[in-house]
Amino acid sequence: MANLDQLMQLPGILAAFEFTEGGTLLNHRQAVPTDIIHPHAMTFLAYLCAANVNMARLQAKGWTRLTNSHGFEPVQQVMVIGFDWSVLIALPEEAGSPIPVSIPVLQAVVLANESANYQKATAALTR
Amino acid sequence: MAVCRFSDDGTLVEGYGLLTPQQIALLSHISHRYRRALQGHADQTALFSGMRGWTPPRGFVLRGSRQSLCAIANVVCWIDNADASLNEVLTELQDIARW
Repeated sequence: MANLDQLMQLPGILAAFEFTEGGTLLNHRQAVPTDIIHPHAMTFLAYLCAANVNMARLQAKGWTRLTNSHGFEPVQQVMVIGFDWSVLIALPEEAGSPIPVSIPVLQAVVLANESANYQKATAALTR
Repeated sequence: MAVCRFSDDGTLVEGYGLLTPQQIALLSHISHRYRRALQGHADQTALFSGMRGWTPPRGFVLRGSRQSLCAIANVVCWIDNADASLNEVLTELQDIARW
């Protein structure tokens, strides 16, 4: 996976951060002034992301069971599309393991919807 | 692979694709409930962080190893990752959602 400084080079990225599956913010970078994204906002974004990762896992497991289609699991990325901003979350391969060898670190980037290149962002965050 | 539009209570309005009618109806209900949960998360995040621009949320993307669900407003589609461009899909969903 790319590091946060590399992710910040992508077009339209406002911020990039790393967090645990429990939502604890580990590291972050931001390209915009703090009156747009205050550092404490990143703390809440990390929890938003963690919650949505598990919602997505629930959906993926349920949808797999209902359709017998095997392309949803494991969930690799989740995106929450807000009104002006989106946050794209990437799960490392070890995320969701019942007994992880190391603490999985999830990455996320915040994009401005107006200028976002979602395809490039998903490619950059692909493991 | 499939696309459907649902009403504000999750009832299927119209759907097309490789799913059975029952599965399409389920897709609309599941997406509706996911969207409602997302609305709550976005509202709380905006309230607690003071950061504008998250709410009301427009939609979500759930990306698996080979397939994804993409939803904007009351329209959701199931796509094959190898065949679909996320930019194009989300742009089309935005347009369709305005109809």
